[in-house]
Amino acid sequence: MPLYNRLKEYRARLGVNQQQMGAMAGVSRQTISQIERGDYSPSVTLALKLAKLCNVTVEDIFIYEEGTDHETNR
Amino acid sequence: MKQTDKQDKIQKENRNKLPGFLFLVALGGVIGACTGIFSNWLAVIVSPAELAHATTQALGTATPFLALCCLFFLAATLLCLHKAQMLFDRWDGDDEQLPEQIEQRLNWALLWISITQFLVFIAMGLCFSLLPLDAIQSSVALIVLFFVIVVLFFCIGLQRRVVDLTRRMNPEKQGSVYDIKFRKKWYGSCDEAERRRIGEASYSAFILISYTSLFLWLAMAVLNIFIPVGPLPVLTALVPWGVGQVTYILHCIRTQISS
Repeated sequence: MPLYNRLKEYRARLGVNQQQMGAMAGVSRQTISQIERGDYSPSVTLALKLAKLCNVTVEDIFIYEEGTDHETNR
Repeated sequence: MKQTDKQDKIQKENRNKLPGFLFLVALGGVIGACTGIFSNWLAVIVSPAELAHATTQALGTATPFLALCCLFFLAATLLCLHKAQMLFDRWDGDDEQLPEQIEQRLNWALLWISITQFLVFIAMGLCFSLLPLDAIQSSVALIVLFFVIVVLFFCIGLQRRVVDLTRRMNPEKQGSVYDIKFRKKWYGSCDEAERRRIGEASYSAFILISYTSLFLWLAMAVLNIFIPVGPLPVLTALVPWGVGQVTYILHCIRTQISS
């Protein structure tokens, strides 16, 4: 899926590690890690939760681009 | 796309794939026929009773060694656990690479434990089935059974260590290994990504078990031509397939109704 994300960048701005981010979002550290690596696309609910935690919109974190083969983070 | 166009597309795909499917069915029939003819020919050359006797005697001799083989996998488990514990002790909570390495080693530990349990259950099953046939001495069978029980308890202890370390890394995880409802509680504490992984792994396992069960059923049915093993092995091989198929479809129906 052609989905990029900047979750790691926003997480760094918040000053939390993956485990803390996961606890705040109600998911595991591993899920946060997978999202940041682009190995997992979160559900709409989780994407909205993450955006709210980072105080930005979903589109600021997740960028959808056609014409690419795999997810990644920038 | 109109309904007629959709129907045409489906029929066209069916027509394209049908020759290959029929070829596989015919090939399976030819292989089955050859196997049956070969088995009958072999039954004339070699006495089935003698072959069955030789096989049971060989299994009786091999059973204790099979049980001992699990020690290699137990050693591998202990190595993985030790390494995982060492890495966990080094983890400061911020490092993003170490948890992946720890979880990888814990997954390998679980695999080695499963293989160990598989081997000891085989050894136990062989003891129970070979003892009435006098293919294994009672004293040897008792020692093997005692060893199996010790190993099984040891495996539970190792699984507890894996689960406890996983829970220390992931505090949201629920469930004790000693809890009868462990699987339910653990699954309940999994998030969406973990449940998706469980779903994908379960589907792969389901497909493989289906094929394996059908292959075993066929193998037992053919073996019956040569050595009369009776209906029990033939029917038992089908049980995992039947249970898997019915459970899978019922679950699909249930989830569709609830949504």
